[in-house]
Amino acid sequence: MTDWKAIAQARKLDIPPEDVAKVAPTLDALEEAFRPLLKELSYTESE
Amino acid sequence: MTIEQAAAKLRAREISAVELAQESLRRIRQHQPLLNAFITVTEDLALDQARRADEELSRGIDRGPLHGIPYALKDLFKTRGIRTTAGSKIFADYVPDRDCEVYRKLTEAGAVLMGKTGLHELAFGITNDNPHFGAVRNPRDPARIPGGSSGGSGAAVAADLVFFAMGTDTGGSIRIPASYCGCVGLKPTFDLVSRAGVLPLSSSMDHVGPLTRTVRDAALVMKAIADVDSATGQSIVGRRIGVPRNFFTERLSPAVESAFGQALKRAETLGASLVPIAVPDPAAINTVARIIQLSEASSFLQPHLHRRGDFGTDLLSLLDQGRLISATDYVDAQRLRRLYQKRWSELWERVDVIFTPTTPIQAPLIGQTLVADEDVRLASTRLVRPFNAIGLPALSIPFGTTGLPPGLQVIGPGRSEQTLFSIAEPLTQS
Repeated sequence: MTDWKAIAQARKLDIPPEDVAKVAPTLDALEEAFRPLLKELSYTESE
Repeated sequence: MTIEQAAAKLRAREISAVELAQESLRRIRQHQPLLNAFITVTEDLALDQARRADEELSRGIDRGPLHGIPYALKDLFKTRGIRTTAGSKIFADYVPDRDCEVYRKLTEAGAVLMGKTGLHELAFGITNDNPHFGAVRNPRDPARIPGGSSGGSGAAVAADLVFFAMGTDTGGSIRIPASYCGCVGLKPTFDLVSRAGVLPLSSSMDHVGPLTRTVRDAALVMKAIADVDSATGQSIVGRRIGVPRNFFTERLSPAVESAFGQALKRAETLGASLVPIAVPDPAAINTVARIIQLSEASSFLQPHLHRRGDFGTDLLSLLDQGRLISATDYVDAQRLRRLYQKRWSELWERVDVIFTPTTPIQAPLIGQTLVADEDVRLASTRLVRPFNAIGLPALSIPFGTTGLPPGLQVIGPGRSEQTLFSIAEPLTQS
């Protein structure tokens, strides 16, 4: 799981921690759907 | 009455543009308390434009089929000297100093602006339950949402308040209200209609298009704003209609499934051939599109993000999500998008158009958050969002005879709007 609170803090985003906690499950689900798609991308060839 | 019928009456002097505008204003006044379709009604401007339209026609100056026709703009289109709120507190007092390109073209075509329609806050959502301007209601059943984000435009057309209304579509925001309100909605090919002067949500996925009562009316509006040939001319006979076996025919409500089956039968009866196909990557495209939209929307609204209390709760949550997505993920999403666009471009060797339902459900109730255990927002956008990411034209037409006729979505290759009109028009004629 990504630590969204840590990301918000590191990037100095003015999002209250409780609001980060609210969106974390949605972002986790989005990440879970997105990460497997990346295997289709080439990292040695330009598109 | 359609645009073409009104245009004929204007030229036969059976009715004047001022009378058309007055009737439109009367209906707006009558229905606004319940439907809340408008944020601003431009009564004085409308009557001025209508008087000018009549005066020009009397002098033999004819600007074409939209001359003297009442219409509305979603309150996201900049209009000089007229407040443009984007349905938000952020832009509540914003009065642009220039007109958007679409308004300029419609004015040049002689159309008469009745006002600016309500939308989901900042065009980022599908319910039109707006915390700042109130909920827009569905004319077919006021307990239900009109869909969004161009919900005021959908409601205004479906309730016959105006002949057509302009909307924007970033993840289905023209086609969803068309489907839920039972009117016609076109999301054209990306960038075919100018976005200049329209407040952005997601610049690489925003599309501008019309909501109308009939397919023919949509063609007439597209002629005026994008010079798309409005003569449908082509035939549905012999056309190859792709019918997705995957994704687009899954998890449909019984009413939508039944209406979709009827639409396919009707197309076959009219002489089209149905071609079962497997469409590439729709779920993946939706994922990629969400990442792009969240990122681009939070970028556009960056200067206002310190005003957290001025955003509605659902909006704030979406913008927070966008800010937490990394730049690398955004770029990867754009790279994947190009890959999917290429795969979809290969489909058109096998079929001329693709049919899908526009939405898998009919209009939900105001305040409803789940339908068959699925988030209403995700269900409403599931079948329409892919075409924002890949930029193909998609037309929604009402199909079925119930009080809430489900939408049929007709998708074609880039710049095939005229083909979409030609295939869709006979389907809507009994």
